[in-house]
Order: sequence, then C-alpha cells, then structure tokens
Amino acid sequence: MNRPGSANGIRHIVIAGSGAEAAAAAAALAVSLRNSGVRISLVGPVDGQSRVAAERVCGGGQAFHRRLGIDEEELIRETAASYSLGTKFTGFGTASETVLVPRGAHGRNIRLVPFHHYWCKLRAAGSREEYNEYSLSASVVGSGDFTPPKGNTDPVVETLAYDIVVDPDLYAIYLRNFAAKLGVEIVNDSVSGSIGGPGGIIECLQLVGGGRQDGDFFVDCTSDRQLICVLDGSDDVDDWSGWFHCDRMISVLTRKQPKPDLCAHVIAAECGWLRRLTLQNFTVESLAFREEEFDDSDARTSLEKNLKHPPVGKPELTALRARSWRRPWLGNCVALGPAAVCLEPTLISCLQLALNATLRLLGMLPAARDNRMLATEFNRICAEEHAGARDYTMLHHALRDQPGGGLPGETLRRSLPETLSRRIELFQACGRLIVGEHEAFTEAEWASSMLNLGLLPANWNPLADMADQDRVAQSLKSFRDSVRQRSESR
Amino acid sequence: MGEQDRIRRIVIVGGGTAGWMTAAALSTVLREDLCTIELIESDAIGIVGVGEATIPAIHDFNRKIGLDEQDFMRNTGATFKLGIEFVDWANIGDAYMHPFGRYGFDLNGVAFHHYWLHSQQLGSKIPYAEYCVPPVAAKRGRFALPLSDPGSVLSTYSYAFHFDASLYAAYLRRHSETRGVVRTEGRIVDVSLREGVSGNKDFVASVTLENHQVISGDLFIDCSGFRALLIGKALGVPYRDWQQWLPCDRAVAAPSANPEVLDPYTRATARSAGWQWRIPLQHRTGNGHVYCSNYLSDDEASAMLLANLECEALAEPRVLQFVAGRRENCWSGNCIAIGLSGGFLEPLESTSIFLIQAAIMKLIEHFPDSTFNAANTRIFNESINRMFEQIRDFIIFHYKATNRDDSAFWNYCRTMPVPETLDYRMRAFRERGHVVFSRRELFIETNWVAVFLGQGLVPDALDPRVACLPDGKITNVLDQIRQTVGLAVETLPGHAAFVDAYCAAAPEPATASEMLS
Repeated sequence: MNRPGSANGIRHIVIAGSGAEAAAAAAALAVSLRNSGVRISLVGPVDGQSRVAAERVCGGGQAFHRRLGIDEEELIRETAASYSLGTKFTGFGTASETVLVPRGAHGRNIRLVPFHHYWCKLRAAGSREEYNEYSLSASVVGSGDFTPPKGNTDPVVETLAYDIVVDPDLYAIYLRNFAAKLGVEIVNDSVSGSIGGPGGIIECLQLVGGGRQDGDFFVDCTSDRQLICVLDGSDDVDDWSGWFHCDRMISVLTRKQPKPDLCAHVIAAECGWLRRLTLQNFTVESLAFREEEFDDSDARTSLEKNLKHPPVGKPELTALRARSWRRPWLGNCVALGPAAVCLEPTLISCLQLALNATLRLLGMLPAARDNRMLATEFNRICAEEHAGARDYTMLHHALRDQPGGGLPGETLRRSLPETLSRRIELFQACGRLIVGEHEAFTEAEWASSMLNLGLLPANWNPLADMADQDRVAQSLKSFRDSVRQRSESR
Repeated sequence: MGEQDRIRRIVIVGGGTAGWMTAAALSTVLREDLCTIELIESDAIGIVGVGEATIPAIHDFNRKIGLDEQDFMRNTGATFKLGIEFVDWANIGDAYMHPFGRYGFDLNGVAFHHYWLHSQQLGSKIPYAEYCVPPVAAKRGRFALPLSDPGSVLSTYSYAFHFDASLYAAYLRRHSETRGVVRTEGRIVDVSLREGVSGNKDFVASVTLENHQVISGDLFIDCSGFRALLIGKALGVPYRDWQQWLPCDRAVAAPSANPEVLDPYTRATARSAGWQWRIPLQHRTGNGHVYCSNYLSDDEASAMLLANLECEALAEPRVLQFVAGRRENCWSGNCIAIGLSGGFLEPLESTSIFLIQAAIMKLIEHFPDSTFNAANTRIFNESINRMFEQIRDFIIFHYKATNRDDSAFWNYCRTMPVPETLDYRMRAFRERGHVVFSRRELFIETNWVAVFLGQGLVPDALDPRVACLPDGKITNVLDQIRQTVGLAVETLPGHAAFVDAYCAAAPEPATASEMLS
C-alpha cells in the first residue's frame, strides 16, 4: 500500500481554463488538499473581459459553496448575484398562459405514497386547485421576497429549493481570488496544447507565452478541450444536437427591472425560445434559434423587439450545442464544464454540471496518474447525470408540442431519446417516475414539471384512493396552510 | 382512474414469514371495504421459517405497519443483534465483525477507513473493530438502545433482532386478522389461468383447494416458498440459477439450549464445505450448517453441526434443499412472487426477511390497477432484480476473498470467476480504497468496507487527502475515538439484563403451532 503523499503519487495538479469552471475547480481542490503538500496551479488568462451572460448554479443543497466554506451572503453581495426559485414558462405545455415550475418539492407523502398521486386523484375528482399551492418555492416567488433559510429543521421549509443566478465572470473572479488566498498558483497565460506521454497520459502543457507547464494530474476546463484532446479516446462523444432545435443564442444585458422576478422566465418564440435571467443590476435577455432558419441579424431584430427593458451594451452571440463526452476522465486528465458536456441553459447550466462534477472529483481524487477504476466510475456517474439533465431539459420542449391531453406514444418514440419517452409514457400511464440517483433534478421536480405543464397521468397509485379521505384532506389542508404561513412570515 | 379498474381482491398464497408480512403491510395501506385480502395456508405444510436473524432495516417495516417493539419482541422470543461475526473466513483463525454501526467518523470529508489504514502504515496494530461501538459492545456482551443525541458516540450504531420467524409470522397473523385479512385453511391442488391484458393466457384466475373450493382474485401474491405454485408451476417463469458463484445447496438446522452468556450478535463460522450459523434467541439458540452437497453428504453435514454445538441439541437436525438464484421476473401478469418463490440467497448476511420487506415496499410503490401497466411492472422487476444482484455480490465476496486452501470447496471458491459487478467493486477498492455503492442499495460504504477489510482486501493506495492532516494528529484522533468507544460501551448494561427488563418473553414461550390453534 502506497503512503499518501508518497513520491509516486500526485504531487502537482494543474487546472487550465479562464472561466468560472476552472476557478471553481481550483478553489475546491485547494480547500480539499490544504496542507497536503500537493501543489495546485491554475493556468488561464485574467483578461478582465466580461461577457453577456448569467448562469444559474447550485440548485437545492448549495452543496458546493458549503463544501468550500464560502459564505453565500458574501458571495451574493460581492458578485451582484441573485436568487431563482424556479422557471416560469410561457407558451409551453397545454396552457397558453404562464406557468411556474418551482424548484424543490410539493406537499408531503401520505402513507408511503408520494404527494402528487393525491393531487392527481383530487384533480380527477374535479378539484381546480393549482399544483403550486403545495409548493413553498412557488409561494415565495409569488410573494417576491426571499431570504434563504438558515439551519432549518422545519419539514415544510425543507421542501424549498433555490438556485443562485451569477454573472459567470464575476463568479470566476470571486473563486479565483478565493483559490489564490489558499495558495493556488495563478499562471497568467493560455494553453496552446498538451503533450502526451506513454501510457495514455499528459506529460505537460504548452503555453502561448512559450513556456511549458508540468504536472501530474490535469483538469481541462478550456472551452475547446485543449488538454484532453491529445489522449486516445477523447473524441468519444454522444452528439445530442439532433434532439434540440436551437443551436445558437443571442444575449443582451438590459436594465434592471424595478421588481425582478425570483425566477427565470422562458418564453416560447416562433424561432425557438426567449429567456430572462435577473442579476442584481441587470437582466440578461437571450433568444435561442436555429442557424439554418434564422440569421444573426434577424435574431438580433427579433430579440430587440421582445426586450422588456432598454438594452445596455451590445448583444453577443454564442453557439448552443448539445453533446456529452463519454469519458470526461481519461488517463491523468479530467474535463469539467464545456469540455465535458454542453447543453442549452434553459433549466440547468453547464456551470452547474461542472460544479457537481467537481464535488464528485473531490471524493475520487486519484493517488496515482493512472487510477483507471476511479476514472471509470467517475465517467459512469457523469454520464447518468448528463443524460438526466438532457432528458429533463428536453421534457419541457416535448411538452410544448403536446396537442393537449398528453402525447401520443408514436410522437414520443420518434422524436425523443428512449430514456425520456419511457419516462413520459410511464408517467402518463400511471404517475410513476424513473429518476436515477445521480440526476440533478429530483423525482418531485420531474413530477412538478410534468403536472405544471399539463401532462396529467391517466392513473395514479390506487393506494391514494384507499387512504382515509378525511385524513388526506386534513393533511393537504395543513400543508397548504403552512405554505401560506411560511411565505407570509418570511 | 375508473373505479372499475381497481383491484378488489388480493389472494396471498402461503403463510409463513413472507405471506404474513405481506398481509400485514397490505392491510395497513388498503381499505377493507374497497379491497379484500385473503391468505391461504395449510397447517399440513411446514414453514421454512427463514430469517431468525435480521438486519436494522426491519425497524422501518415494523414502524410502517405499526408494531410496538417491546410487545413484538416479547412475543417472538427476540434478542438484540449488533452485527454478524465471521469466523475462519479469509483464514482459519481469523475473526471480524460486520457491525450495524459506523466506524469512527469522516474527517475532512474523507471516509474513516483511509485514516485507519494509514495508521496501520504508521505501525499501529489496533484492529479496525475498536473504532466502532457494536463490535466492542458485542464482544463484551453489552447492549442498550442507541441514543438520539448526535453528539454521543452511542448514537453511531443501530441494531436488529434475532427472533423465532414462525412466532413472528404468528404475531403478524394476529395483527393482519384484526385488520380484516381473511385466512383460509387448505392445500392448493390446482391453479387456473385466464386471458391477461396482452390477450395471452398468462394471468392467474383462481386457485382450487383440496376441498374443491375455488378462490379467485384480481391480484395474486405467491408466498408458497420454494414450491413457487403460481409464479413457477402455473406461470412457468424461469428461475435463474447462481450456483456457479454460490454453490451451497443444502442446510441442516437444529436448535440447541442457550449457553450462559446471551450474545448480542449472530455468528457465522466457515466450515470445510460451507458455514455454520449461531443465532441466540431468548429461549433457545438457532443453529444451522449451510453446505454444498457436492463436497459433503447430509450425514456428514449433520454430524459436523452437532459436533460444533455449544450446548445440547433440542431437536433432531432437519435438512433443507435450495438453489441460489432468483426468478427471471418476480412480477408476471397479475402475480407477484414474494419470499422464497421469488428467489433464494443463503442467510449469510441475514437478508432473507429484508428481501421480503423490500419486495413488499416496492409493491406498495408500484401498486397496480387491473390494467396492469406493463412499464410499471417492468420497473418493479428491474429494481427487484438489481436488489437481488447487489446482495448476491455481497455474499459472493465472502467466499471469493479467502486464502483458504484446506478443502476442495474453498479451492473452488477462491479461484472462481465472480460477476463483473462484484469484480468492479473489488478493483475500485483495491486501486485506491474507493467504495462503489449507491445510497439506494442495502449495503453502503461502511458495510462494504467492514467486509472488504475483514476478509483482507487491502487497497494499493489511499485517498490523497489523508495527507492534509499531520500523522501525529491522525494518531491522536484515532486514540480518542477508541477511548471514547471503550468508555461508552462500559456504561451499557449486559445484553441478557437488558432483554429481561425490556422484552422478556413469558417463561414458557408458546410454539408457533400452539399459537395458531
């Protein structure tokens, strides 16, 4: 058995990339390996350039920040970030009006049966109560006023979940400073390529400035896979672009709204979709479209026509491509962020997926340059999470097209990945859900999206009919009342 | 959902532990006036009475159906169980415990076993068991209920029970009957099928009893044990055989009188062609010898069992036959196999009752209506199959990870190829001490580590984060944990005294047949 910190172990970890993913990985590794003697370097230019972007991170447990010991209030203050407790959809689902899909859970289970079965039963019996009356997150969005709960043990408050909306550039700066304070060496240079060594590992990085950067283990957070692409098998990719309509997005900053929503807003547009995400001082408004149908200037005109507030600065274009690399960890290199997975940012950001993968990596830090089992297991879990995020995102587009009263099985099988059509068919038939352990969205959130967007199951768990109906009514009422109380007292 | 689609009649075929656990659970979640439950069993057919030793998951089941722990323990002659001691497995002379409790605690997010392994590198000779409450308490014969205060080391363990499975079935029968379950005495002589939702004749329509009574139902639960009357005989769902990995196919069981000390743990001692269990109840000790008939005759196996009893035998040894494996699908059409009809894994890790309980809970989650949605059935089967396979792998590991070469049986086990899923876990642990597990599985990190280390699977390297703490600090923390565990265990009462005060059975506990009459 090798000793930790022994000479043949990992003595030097090099992270490459200029975005928030790289800064986050550097900060997380620095916290985890503090005092271990492992050297950590972050190679990436500090260009001070800022992009027009906002990303949602850290749904639910805020696990990443907690793990790093980051004070979330300070982070919000210093990066002018804001909160989001869900996503409003306009023109999706059966209804033409706007519906909110909140984060977190609805209601509480009664006698071993998940809450949504009871709601479906009541709905079928003629109740017109909104599903979101049982969501504390939705209630908070309605009240427009939010402070994150602290040290909570209240079971109703536990159903609440929120995201943080960050400006990725400011977030990167914050995390980079955080990492630097922990002793991460910042190398203000860019990677031009990597040199592979025998046995499928990276030997060192070449820098634009002419130098080279040695290391034992590498983290590729570059946008074009500059490190990992030298390794065999790195081109092993699942291309998902055929599943998504939009492949391009134009974004512009607009002036802050007087009372910003505590959620994102996604609006169906003829060419694709519009999205609004609110930061403390700005709103980022984006339009997604398909390049072959719509050129950039059409997109720009269309976006400007739809702006709610006057733009600040110029619009920016970004490519949207849906794909996931089958082996983000190869040899002695792990890809995080866009080097591992790309997905349109309607419901989950690539940054969030990168943070999740970073946390995963912390629990699986290699002891040698070729820990293949760790890599295999890491890749297995990432693949499940990525496919889950893809399915959840696609679900909302699929429900946008439903003719009303559910999707015909034929359409589903033709136009959706098998995993997603299976989930939808199962839910439609009997209200049951299949959600993997490592997926970013919970069963409750899947149910919430489906029900709020009008996919009502034909059947539910018959045990919901067997419970004492007075007790069920009582349980539902007390939860609804608590939701109202909690959101009023906030 | 139309009311016409509702399941109105459930027929459970077979009593015993599986049948009565199913009846008890379903009667708690179903309304008597909307759905009847009828259980058919025959006094003439013996109960295998699997179980006897359980795992902590049983608390969850008992709580969900509303049992009172003390009352249930009094009525089943139950004692407490802190884990399983494995003797002579990796080498003759070795012993380790798979306890119901946490070892030490995670430091800086790094699992405790990395620090313990590192302390061994630094020269420490302290066994892993001394950093965990249950092995220490078990060896000193102590027991008390765990505390809820997370600040106390006495909150870091759980417990299960040793009980008389036929008394447990009888207890659950009373519980079920007060909730409206109807028991019908009789032996099933015929099963008739009907057209199912797919148009094939693959649904059970009714069963016919010896007295010509025909009992029909919408949903049938096959708890007929190894006979698998419905799922196997009538529906022909094939059985997947795992004997290549789990070659033991017989068990011989005999109760014995209790020794003076009432141990709060199960013991599993490896023998030349299998292993022997010892399960201390209040009124007797359960013993059994699981073996492979290719290497040992029934007479030899019985003789070995009797020769290894600590106290006098209370009955003649009884031989059981089985084949390790599972039904291809436990749910087929309108029939669900729960218990031995669905699959069998030897009781090395006391999982028999858990497998029943987990199937019942999955059934509740996927409870059907009379349209029997195929996707719903498929998900049920997938998760039951996964569960069987995870537990199978855990058990196989005990046989595989051995240095024993003293018998043909052990030579076979030591050199046999194992399922890819198990090989994967073993390689991940060997590479860097990483445990592949899912929070949705029964056995999680702490269980795998206890058995990996207990059987001598040592990683080649450790989590590099161990180097974040100076060696001296790690040594100090480990010493402190060991002392805290030792001192805390000293405050616990003896197991026998605790049982006496908490749940002593009546002096002459009734036998199962007396209670049923």
